[in-house]
Amino acid sequence: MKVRRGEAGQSLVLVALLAFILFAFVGFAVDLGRLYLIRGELNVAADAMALAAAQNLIGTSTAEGLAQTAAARVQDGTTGGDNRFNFEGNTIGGDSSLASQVEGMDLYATYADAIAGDLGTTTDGSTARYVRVRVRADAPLTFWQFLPVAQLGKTSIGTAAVAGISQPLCTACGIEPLAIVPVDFADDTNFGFVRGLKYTLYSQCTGAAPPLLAGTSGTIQYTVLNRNIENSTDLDQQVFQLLAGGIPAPLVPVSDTSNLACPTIGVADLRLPTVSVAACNAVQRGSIVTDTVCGLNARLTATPHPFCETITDVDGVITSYPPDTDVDNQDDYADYGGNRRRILTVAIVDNLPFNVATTMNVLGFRQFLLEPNPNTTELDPTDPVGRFVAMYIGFPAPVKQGTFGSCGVTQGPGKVVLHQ
Amino acid sequence: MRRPASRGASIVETALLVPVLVLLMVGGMEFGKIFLTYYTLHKALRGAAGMASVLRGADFCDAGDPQLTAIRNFVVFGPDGNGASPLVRDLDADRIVITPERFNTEDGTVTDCPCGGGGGCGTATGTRAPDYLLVTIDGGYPYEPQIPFRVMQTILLRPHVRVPFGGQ
Repeated sequence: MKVRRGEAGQSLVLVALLAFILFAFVGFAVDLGRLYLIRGELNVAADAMALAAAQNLIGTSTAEGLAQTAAARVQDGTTGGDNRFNFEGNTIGGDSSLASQVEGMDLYATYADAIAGDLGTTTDGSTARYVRVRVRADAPLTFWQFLPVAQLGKTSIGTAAVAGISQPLCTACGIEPLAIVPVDFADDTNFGFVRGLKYTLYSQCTGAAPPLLAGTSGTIQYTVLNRNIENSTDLDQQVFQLLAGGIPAPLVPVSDTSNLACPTIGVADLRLPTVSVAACNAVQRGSIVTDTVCGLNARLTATPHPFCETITDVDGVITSYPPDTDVDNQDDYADYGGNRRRILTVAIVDNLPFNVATTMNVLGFRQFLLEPNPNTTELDPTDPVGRFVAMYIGFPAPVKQGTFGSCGVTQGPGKVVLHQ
Repeated sequence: MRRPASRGASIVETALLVPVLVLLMVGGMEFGKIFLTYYTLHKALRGAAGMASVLRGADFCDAGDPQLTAIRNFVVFGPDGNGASPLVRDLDADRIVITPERFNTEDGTVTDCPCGGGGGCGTATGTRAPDYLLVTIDGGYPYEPQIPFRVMQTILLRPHVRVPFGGQ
């Protein structure tokens, strides 16, 4: 009898022990899975914030503030669409027993520093090319908390994302449809333009340079690139919209495999034929040059110039492309504190054919800061040759989109890419 | 040597314990499966968001936009496209919703981008590309835990991903 009772108990004890061990292992596995899952969710949030921040690395002293604001905006929870963690149960930075926060945002000038983690040398907004966003949150440990090492029932998980401005692009999208010719073809950094110098940009079919606008030290002839809009029912409005906001998507169908969607270095591009007005100096409403300046003017003021009011739905387009937050005349690009609306990315081409609709080859892309005309906050669309002031700034800001290729350029604007 | 009575007791004990063990194991596996399903869906949405955020010329106000349809099919069915076995059971590509969002300068919030001119999204005159994209599963993905001897409540998995829009 004694032996039998002992045997029976032994079996029960064994199975109970086995069940306990099994339970413990299953619990560990579940908790570990949850940690990985939460890390993945934090990663998504960090990536989104880093990408949004990097779009604001435009090489000004206010870029850091802009980047921080942009990163915070991604996590706006008005509609509950902000990236969350723990099965979407907790907002990052939200009030909960699981603490979470955006630990910080660091700016770096070089890729090596950016990916070196906490060891990298940080920099300020004016030289930053990369941004690293760190997110940290507590993950619950449902089963581990029975162990002495995890009695709090949670553990802290950190993750970081690095985004930055890429290598020079061969094809740039979303840039302004303007083309200019280099001053110095041999200068592959600035094409002979001087950083920080203000130029009078004009468009004149005779090619003769008009008088300089006040405060400028040179003239640059420009033309409007053909973006497949000449058959549009309302060319004035299309040109206005192009210049007010860059090339909007609807104007560039995906099926368009030609170069019209985005200019590519080394590939021929077309001038908008109608730019060549017959009477060069006649002030005429409806000329492409006027529409161009009207569009650029929308980047400085929300009120359309009286000369531009005849453009169809001009107010609607301006609502879509609100003016820059900084419309002051700037002498130093580093002081510019706006939201990038005044930065014009233009194509540099080898020639500007005004008399015939011929092709021009794209050499690169460079950027200018649009300046208000002297003594006013606006541009002057009544100017017969479409003059406006712009400061050459090189290529500090990322363009909206683009692709790499084998065009061989070593300098030029890049786009925002996620590195880590 | 054991007597028959003892063996019987052992069998009864085992018979009582085996369901408990099976329940424990299956329960653990179900936990893992819920995590795996959620992770898979979240990752798919992240992929869709990544691809959609660099699109050019896509109309986010059109549910049948070919570029967006291609992305939805890709993340659900893989490179073989519609008709292949879905990523998770009974997931339909149409259930993945890509919503354009807009930052409102007046009140500083991010809300759904209205479709139409005057600052909205779409292709009409006066529209502009969205600021953010929110990728969700319409109505959530219902997961039914399969645990023996018990009818479990359906768990609704609602992953979502927001990305800044970097296309045009």
